[in-house]
Amino acid sequence: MSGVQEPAPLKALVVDDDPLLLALVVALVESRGYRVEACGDGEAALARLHEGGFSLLVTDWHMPRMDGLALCRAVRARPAQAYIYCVMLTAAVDEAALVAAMEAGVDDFVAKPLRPAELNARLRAAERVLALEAGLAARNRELSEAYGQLSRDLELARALQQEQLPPPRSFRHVRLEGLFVPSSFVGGDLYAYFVPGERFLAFYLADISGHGVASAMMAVAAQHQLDEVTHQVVLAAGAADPPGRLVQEVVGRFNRRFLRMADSGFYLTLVFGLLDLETGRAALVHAGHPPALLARPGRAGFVPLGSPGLPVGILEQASWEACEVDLPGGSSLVLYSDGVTECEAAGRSEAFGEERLRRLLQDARDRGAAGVCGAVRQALQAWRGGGFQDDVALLALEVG
Amino acid sequence: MASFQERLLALQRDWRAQLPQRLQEMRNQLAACRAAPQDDESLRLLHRMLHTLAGGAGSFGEPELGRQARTIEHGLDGLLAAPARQPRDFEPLQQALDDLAGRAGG
Repeated sequence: MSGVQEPAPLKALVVDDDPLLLALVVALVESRGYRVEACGDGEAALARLHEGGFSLLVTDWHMPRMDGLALCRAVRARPAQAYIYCVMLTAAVDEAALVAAMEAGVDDFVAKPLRPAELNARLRAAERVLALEAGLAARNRELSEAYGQLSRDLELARALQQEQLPPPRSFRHVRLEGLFVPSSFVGGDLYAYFVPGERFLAFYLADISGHGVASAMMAVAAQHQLDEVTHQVVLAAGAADPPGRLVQEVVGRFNRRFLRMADSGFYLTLVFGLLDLETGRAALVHAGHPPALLARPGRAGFVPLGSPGLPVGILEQASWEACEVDLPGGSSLVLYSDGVTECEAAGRSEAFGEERLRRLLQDARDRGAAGVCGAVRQALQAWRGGGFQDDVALLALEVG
Repeated sequence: MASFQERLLALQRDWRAQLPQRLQEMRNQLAACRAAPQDDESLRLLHRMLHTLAGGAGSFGEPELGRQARTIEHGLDGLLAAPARQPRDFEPLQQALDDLAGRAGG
């Protein structure tokens, strides 16, 4: 005995105000294997159809109270869960009338007087369409379920990525806070700050090429490598080692490790810095990244630091220049991704720009690292008026 | 359960059996139209009767009867559109209906 169940027969509604013609059409449709119900008028038919379960409607055109055309129009006006194929029984040959009927939602016509062979052929055509529709509906359900699961997974990934970001924190007299808004659920920008040992505060902001899940996963792997290299270099450093040499060493080793990671075509841009917490001397390396911006105590305005270098992940033998700078109390240092300055305004192709960013940072400077991050987030959201095209990341460092 | 062919034959028999009554009802309705020639609703009812007969006759094995009924139905279209009707306007219709009844044996 086969375990395969036959599909349930399709359900049809036949409508005609002539009882004998109604019985004839019912017999014809039943002979094709349909489960058939019958109604003698359009209004009763509409009420029955709204109860659901029907795949086929075969209706006479001219009936009192509600004719077949009005019935089809009403069926189309209230879409059922599944498509109802409408066949109109008619003696009409007027082209305008037939066009009007099709525009009202009639799928096919069967001419009167009825010929069983013609009705059979029309019903076979109806079954082909209904099979296509059922297949499409099933595929849509699968896609909807898959999309729902994907959305849930991405939302979880988004929450996890946000949790991995370091919270606002102070290291002695230095306060750091960051801002990260992915352009999608997850993104490839990252920032971090930590103390690898006691002497130095390490901080960086990186931007992995591309967007979305792949970039986000690469960002996790890259962060792990960079943090490990930082610890190795800093902990092995001598007391006299200048921070400039150390940052070059870190980025150089990280670059070689990154190139040995999965051959995926990724690269990243990076600003990496070490701040000597004793002396207040900082060193930064720029690897293809927008320049860090520095505001010194007693001086107005933020100025860019450093010189651009190659991004990480391009050339194994690449090297970078280090920029050393003193950060006395009252200094403010800001690292940012190009998603900030290249953010386009709503409705026009004008970028936020470095000039606008520097003015904003100057205005927010007195509010500390938290105030700077809040001001930038607010300004960009007002500028963009909606979701961002690129990941937005910013790291504010305030020396107390 | 009756086979499909048996059901069809039974329906044909039923249709033929009720044909004389249909034709009489049409005659009665025509008389009502002649008595009140300006009554559009009465005329539309007769039109409907002929339309139903025309649509059903061919389906039940009487195509010529159906064509005749259709011709009379189209003739009624002209009467329905006429601005004023007189009882004599229905005489051709009476003749046609009598011919139809004669063909149907009613």
